Amino acid sequence: MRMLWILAFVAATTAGETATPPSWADEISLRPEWRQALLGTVLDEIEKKAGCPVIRSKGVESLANSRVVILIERERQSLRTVLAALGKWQGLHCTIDPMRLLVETQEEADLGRRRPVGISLRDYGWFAEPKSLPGHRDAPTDPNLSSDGDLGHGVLLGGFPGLEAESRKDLDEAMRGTGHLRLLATPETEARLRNTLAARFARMTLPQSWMITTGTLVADQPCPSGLVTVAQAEFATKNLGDRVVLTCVGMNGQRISSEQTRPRNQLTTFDVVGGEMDPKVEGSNPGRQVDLIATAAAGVVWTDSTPAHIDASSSLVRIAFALAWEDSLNPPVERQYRKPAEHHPLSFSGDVGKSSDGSNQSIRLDAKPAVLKEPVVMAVELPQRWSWRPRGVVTLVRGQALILIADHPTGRAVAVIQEAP
Amino acid sequence: MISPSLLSASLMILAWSLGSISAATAPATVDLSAADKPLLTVIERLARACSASLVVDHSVTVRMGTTVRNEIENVPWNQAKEWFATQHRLSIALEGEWLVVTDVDSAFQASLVSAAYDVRQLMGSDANRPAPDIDLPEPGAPRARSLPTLEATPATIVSTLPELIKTEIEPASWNWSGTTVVVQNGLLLVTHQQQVHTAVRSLLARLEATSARQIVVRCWSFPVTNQGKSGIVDAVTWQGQAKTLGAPRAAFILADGQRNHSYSGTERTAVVDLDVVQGIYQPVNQATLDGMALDVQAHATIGGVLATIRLAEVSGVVLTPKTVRDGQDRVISTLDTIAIEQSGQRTTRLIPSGGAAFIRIGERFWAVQCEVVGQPPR
Repeated sequence: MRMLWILAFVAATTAGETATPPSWADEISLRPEWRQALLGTVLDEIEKKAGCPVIRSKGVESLANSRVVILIERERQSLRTVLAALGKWQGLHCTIDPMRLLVETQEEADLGRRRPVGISLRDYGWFAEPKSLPGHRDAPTDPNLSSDGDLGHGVLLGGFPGLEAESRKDLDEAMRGTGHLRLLATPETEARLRNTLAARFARMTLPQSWMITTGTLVADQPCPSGLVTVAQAEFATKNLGDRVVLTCVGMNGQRISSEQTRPRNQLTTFDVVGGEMDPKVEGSNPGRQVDLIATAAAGVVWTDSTPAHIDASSSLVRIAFALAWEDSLNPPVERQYRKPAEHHPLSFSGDVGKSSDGSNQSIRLDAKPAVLKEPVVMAVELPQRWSWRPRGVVTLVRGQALILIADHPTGRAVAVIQEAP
Repeated sequence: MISPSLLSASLMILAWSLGSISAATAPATVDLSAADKPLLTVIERLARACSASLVVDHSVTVRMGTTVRNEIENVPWNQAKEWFATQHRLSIALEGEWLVVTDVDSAFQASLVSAAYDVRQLMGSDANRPAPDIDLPEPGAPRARSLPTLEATPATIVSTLPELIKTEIEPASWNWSGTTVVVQNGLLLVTHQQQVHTAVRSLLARLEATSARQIVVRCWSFPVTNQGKSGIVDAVTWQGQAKTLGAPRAAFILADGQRNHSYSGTERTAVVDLDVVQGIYQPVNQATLDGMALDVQAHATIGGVLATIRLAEVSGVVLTPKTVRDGQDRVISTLDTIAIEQSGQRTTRLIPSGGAAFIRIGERFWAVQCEVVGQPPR
């Protein structure tokens, strides 16, 4: 470490910049041989060497006659080095001022350095995790296509080191609702917390951009398939007829979808209701749809020992996909159904009446007019649909593409999944 | 430009630093013998042997007064460290120019590092996706569905990941205070020493490499010729034979051990029956399905791909309309009679990676190729 400082100093001076002069603590050297010395005695010795007052905090004062120090240097060291070792292994914090030396316990120092910190979790995308965006309601379903975009919600900060109990309570409340996090933290803890939040945000919003090219091919024409290079994929897509390109752009681990369809209705059959033909209509949705989730390889989101980072070296991407391709075959088959004509000829009905004495007779007739119901013809279409619904999970190395092939009435149906340029 | 005085000062400081940073080194063996001496005496001797300064954590200074009596000489460095740990619960470590003595438990706690890993990539289930049966037309039966609901059997590694880590990486250490390994919402949170994190990353990479092992399945069909007589051919032979066949009839991918399928076909609605309702002939529709379904469950093994293949094809669907006429020879209704050709086979084959298995059905061969992509089994 010191070597690095020296090299930095030389480099800085070479560049013509002014280096910060060493403080008085670097100019004083000593070779301590404290074998089970009391802390008070050690501080007295340091005060004598430093030639300036050593201010002891209350905590240090209480330890002065009980805390035992063992520190034996093999050669002379600067006072700064000795103070650093003393601080680290005695749990002390030494502040070197121009005219004095302040010695506190580490707890006292941390307590003094903690200050109110306000962090808006929403600034780091909390509560704004990319939502699952499935396609059309008829979109293909698949057990792999379930994602809520969450990434360590709850667990990420739950065990965060350096936060006091009160801060943890605030943290819980912040995560439950408002997103406004108020806590007492040292600058280091705040920096690590922000670093963690930023790293999670970066991982969550890692963009994923994929292109699905679908089209047809004459059966005899060769075509690469399976895992291929991007160049092979591009060559294959150039030869496709009836080509449709769908793009899916979203975030890492988010379910995204794209479609190009032509929904339509067809009169496919009828019911008989009250002696009449009641038409029934069915909908169909020919076209092409895709739902996918692309997830980058496992990577380190954060660590409390080194700066948080995303493992960019990893090049694997796992893609869960579900495609649906449906073509209506033309022309549709048509069938006609006839309800025969109904003839109701002119008809009469009535009765013969008699008078009370039985002499007079009368005839009453009611006439029903003749009725002719024309025949009804119902033409129904019988749908003919070709469909292909490939689904699966594929792990691609960056630069690879996946080509799927199936039979199609015109030859072959081809789907190419590749990263969008 | 740099002034001569500044350069000289820099070089002096550099020389001073070089002189003082000679790091301490552990000797091959050390002497731990003592005759009723305080422990501090033994440790000071150890520091001198390492050419190190000595610093003792305040929590263990009291133990330095313990009287020691033993005759242990020429002990290898690592064994000496173990002796201090087991006999006195002390951790001895060289840090730069210091020999640092701390409490074993405190040293372990201080060495713990927390890290979070995004393991969503390993969370996806490789659910089996069996092919739909091709519906055969049965006149009068309820309407067929083109694609029956898939029954998934998701199996995810993530639920067992913490157990896997605890079993594979320093199993005895996970009971120590402060260590954790949990998975929640796609995040693996591990608190342990740095070397464990290195092992965790290595394990995750290994799991990813295993999950990246996939099998590409391709299928062609062609009239019976001599080329399919051998039953199974290797990759080189098949590569030569496939050149003239054009694009495969099906190409799909599955994970090692997974079941997946390719199906494409045409759903045709036919009027398979007529009900007479209130004097009207009412059509009864039914969907018929033709096409090819290839369902494969494949395991990459040392001997090739062990593939269970289910192949079904319905082709040559002919719908012949039949009319119902009234007394004046007018068409009042039509229904379809259906004729199909159906073929299929279920079989298990051991296919060399990239090679193909031939399945003969009637006068046609089906060639099913399985190619392992990624790390092959060893």
